[in-house]
Amino acid sequence: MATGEVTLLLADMKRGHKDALGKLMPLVYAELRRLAGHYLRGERAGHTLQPTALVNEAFLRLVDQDRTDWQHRGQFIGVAAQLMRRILVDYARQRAASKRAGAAVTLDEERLSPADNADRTEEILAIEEVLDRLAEVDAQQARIVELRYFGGLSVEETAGLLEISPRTVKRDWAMARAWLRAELADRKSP
Amino acid sequence: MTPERWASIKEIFNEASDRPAPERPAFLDSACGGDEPLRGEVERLLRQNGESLKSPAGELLAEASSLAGGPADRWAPGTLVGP
Repeated sequence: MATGEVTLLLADMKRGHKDALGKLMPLVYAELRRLAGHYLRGERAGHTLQPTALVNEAFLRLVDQDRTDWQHRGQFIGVAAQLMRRILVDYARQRAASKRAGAAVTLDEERLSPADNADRTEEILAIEEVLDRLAEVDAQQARIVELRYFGGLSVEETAGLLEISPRTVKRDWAMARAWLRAELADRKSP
Repeated sequence: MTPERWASIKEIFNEASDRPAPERPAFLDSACGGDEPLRGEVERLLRQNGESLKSPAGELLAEASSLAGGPADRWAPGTLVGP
């Protein structure tokens, strides 16, 4: 992989070139998937993957470190979080579909108990569904949810990326969480 | 729901959650000024306040990424993605 290509695409994105994101996504996606696969193969019991570490490693591998700056890094993390959202939602959809079809689930079930796994799948799909509604009324708050929930970023990382205070992230995240929980509760007992 | 309505709910929710629970009803009386749907929405959120929501990325991302045929297969060169 030419590190120059991703570096140039990040620079294009910063200048507002609309097609840069479309070209960037498959490259970042392939690298995230490769690294995650690598992690799975070398996994030790009880060792949890750190999403931020994975994204950092992808950034170091894909981006020419001599020709980059912190803004590129922020953009890269933003793109990675969008991709992680897609990866997790696609996964949850497949799980839900195979459950409906009664097909044997071939994925590794050992990491979580079946009940936890089903709850998580349902939660991911429900949040994906209501997050677009939140984006319509508060785009920044929806971004915070995307970065924290799907991207696994900490309060401080989210604040740095969005250039807002950690206090704002904490408050917006607390309210979004309460709202998401309320929406999920209403779905279970309408 | 409009962005303005959401901003009002957020402001009142934030202020209410800073106050001890016994003070909240009186605060909501004055902050919502008789707007019952507004108050109802803030109370609905306050009931869920403090609930945690853990990112599924740490536990599920590696497994999810190992699925064959992920999003990359949908993105032929030139496909328009993103907002």
